[in-house]
Amino acid sequence: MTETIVEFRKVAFSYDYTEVLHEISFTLGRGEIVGLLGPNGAGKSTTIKIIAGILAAGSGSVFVAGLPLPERTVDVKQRIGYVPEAAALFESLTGQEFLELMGRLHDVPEETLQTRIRDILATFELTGDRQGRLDTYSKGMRQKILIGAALLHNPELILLDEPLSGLDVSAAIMIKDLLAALAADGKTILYSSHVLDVVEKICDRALIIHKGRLIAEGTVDDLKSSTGQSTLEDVFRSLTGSAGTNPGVSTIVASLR
Amino acid sequence: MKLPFVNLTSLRPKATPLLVACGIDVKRFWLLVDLFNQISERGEMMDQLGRNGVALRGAAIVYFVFSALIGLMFAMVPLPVMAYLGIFMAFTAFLLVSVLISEAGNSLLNPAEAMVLAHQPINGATYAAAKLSHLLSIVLYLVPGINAIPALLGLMLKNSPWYYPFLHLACAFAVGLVSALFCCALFGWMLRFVPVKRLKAAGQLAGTVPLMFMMFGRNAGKLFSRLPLAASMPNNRAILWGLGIALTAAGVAAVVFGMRSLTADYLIRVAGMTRGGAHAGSHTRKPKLGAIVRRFFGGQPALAGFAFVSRMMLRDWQFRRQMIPLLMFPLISLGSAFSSGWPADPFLRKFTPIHVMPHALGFLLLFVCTLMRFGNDYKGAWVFVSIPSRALNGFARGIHALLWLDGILIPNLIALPLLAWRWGIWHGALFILYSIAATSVYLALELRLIENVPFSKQMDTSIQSLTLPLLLGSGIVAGIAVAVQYFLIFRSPVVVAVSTVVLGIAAWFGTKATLGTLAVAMRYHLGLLSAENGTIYREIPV
Repeated sequence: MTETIVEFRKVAFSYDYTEVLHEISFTLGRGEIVGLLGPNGAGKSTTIKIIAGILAAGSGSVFVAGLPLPERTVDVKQRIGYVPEAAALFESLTGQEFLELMGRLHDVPEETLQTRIRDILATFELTGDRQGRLDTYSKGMRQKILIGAALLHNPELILLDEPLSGLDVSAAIMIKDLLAALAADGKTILYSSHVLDVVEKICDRALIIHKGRLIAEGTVDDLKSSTGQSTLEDVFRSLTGSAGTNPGVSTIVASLR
Repeated sequence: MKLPFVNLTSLRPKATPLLVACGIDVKRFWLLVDLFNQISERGEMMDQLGRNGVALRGAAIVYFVFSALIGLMFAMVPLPVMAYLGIFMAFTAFLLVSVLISEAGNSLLNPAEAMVLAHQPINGATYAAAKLSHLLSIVLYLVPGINAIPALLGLMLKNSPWYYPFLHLACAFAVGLVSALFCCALFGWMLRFVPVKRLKAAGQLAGTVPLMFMMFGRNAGKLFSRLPLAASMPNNRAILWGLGIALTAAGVAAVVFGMRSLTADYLIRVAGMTRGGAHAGSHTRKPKLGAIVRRFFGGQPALAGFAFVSRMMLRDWQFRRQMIPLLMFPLISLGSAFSSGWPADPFLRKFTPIHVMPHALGFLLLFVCTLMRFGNDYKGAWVFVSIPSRALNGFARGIHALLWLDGILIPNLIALPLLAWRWGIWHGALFILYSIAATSVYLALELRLIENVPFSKQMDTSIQSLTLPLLLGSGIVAGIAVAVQYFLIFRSPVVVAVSTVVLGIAAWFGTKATLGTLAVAMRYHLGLLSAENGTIYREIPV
């Protein structure tokens, strides 16, 4: 049996008076790539922020590598790499400087840090742009820097919120290969995305959240067979009640005429 | 905060002919004004004085008190009416130009909102007029703030007419309007002739013009008085009138040309301005002191703090915009101290300008610490939320290391050989040790002003309204400190040595306590950021 890295037990969370997570429970095992799916506002980013130690659960319990949150937030943060969705950056820094900042804040020894930065920049084909300021980077280049920053301190758990956003085809393929290799090396990856094809291809399991509740969990094949659907997209549509063409589509087209 | 004139919606139609004459799309102009008003009310434009009600009122009150004192002083000394009026108009123009140049630069050269709207069908004139509408708000608040009491006090002057207060206020509003137009036109000229990449730097330099004028105006006046201008002027009154009219026409033409340049293609240049100066200062600069900082100040997190703050201080728009004019004060005061010859040895019991040195450095560090809280890329602060919070202890030590090494140790070490050469090694070394210890005490206290992760808060212009009282207050404190230093400490080398030890110990313990407080304050601020749903994850549009 694989070692449990993340344990989410009956976790609820509210923003002001709106409950966005309703007693969700799941576990992530070492070396797994797990897809976190759900429509906009389902609670995916909140779930990730709770695991990252950025938000504290309202009730229930969360353990990362056996460490309770929020009590052991400092130790947990040392073990995770986090790529937020559409993150703002310190635009005045260069790509190299941003990576150095993140590595040093995680206390990576300087020589190791410089080696890792060099390798990451080379792999992401950013070596030539490393002295360019982030405000001159394209969206894809910034995303590569964010992913690189999340890996610098060799985390056990990697939390990715729409990591392929803005990446071109070859970079996206490279990231998918990288994630598979990291998982094979024992890293646990929680991958939140709307791009269901990618999730279907790279994830061992999927969690589907809808309106703050975990409505399905299992391997992609299990989910397909239990719902009688042929693709993950169809599974998602049937479980979240978005089957068929949304009637709103024709309404918009009609109103534009 | 709602702009005063925006509330008067019934007057909007009356402004239509003027707006149309200026080439402004009236409908979109009011839409944009309402939009900026709405964003301001939600606290998203706190970096613009004219849109930050609290800061604007604060500035008006500070100027109100300040000018009332000056007015009372001049009214007691019976000045001729025209001289009194002239002094206050010059004072109004100086204060307004100082504020408006900085505000116009911030609005025009930091075009975050413009990037969002650049692809909309809005012409440059309409956008620039709406964006600069807050300058009018500044004029409407500050002109009465500066002139209300002096206008009334004018009635105390000899031969003052009964309508003097009205005349004074009317002239002040005219000066305010001309100042606003002048500032807008100045940026129009810059947009026209300065390469887009250099616009931000040019804007920051423009912000120093009023201070340079204040510092060097007297010398320039002396220089002009030596030139044979009066002798070469024609005696004929008609020619003088003609010259006056020609100069006025040239001034009006310059303003009109500047305004037209400003409004012509502003939105087209916005993308270039956003990336303006992108390559300036981004060359590889391995921190030379990095190894020392890592070794002695707290490991890799300290190096992170050291490198991050040193780069952001050089590149952050908001920090540079505020800091460059303020840098002028200590630089010029030190320059003027040395201009009258090499300062005498302070151990000779004579007053010498070198007494000011530790306090000038402390003065500079005060503003660095005050302004370091704010940054243009404050939304990037999320990166500190995702790190182990214990790293913030080392990070705080890294900030201290940077300010202490770059702001205290290195300037003093540069001065040491010069002072030792002039005063002898013992006097030079003792003075430098004293200076380092005294300035370190300033730094230990001033680090408390940072309060959060540096450069991770939206610029709040209420800090600008505090600049004048802060300058005056710091000047008084520094004056007292210099007096104590001169009269009590620099009486004998032994007293100086003992004082140096005492100050050094105070600085050591003060810094230790302050760094702990700073790390806690940073954690608290990051805790608040975490609690804000999503706001720190919004991407800045590029």
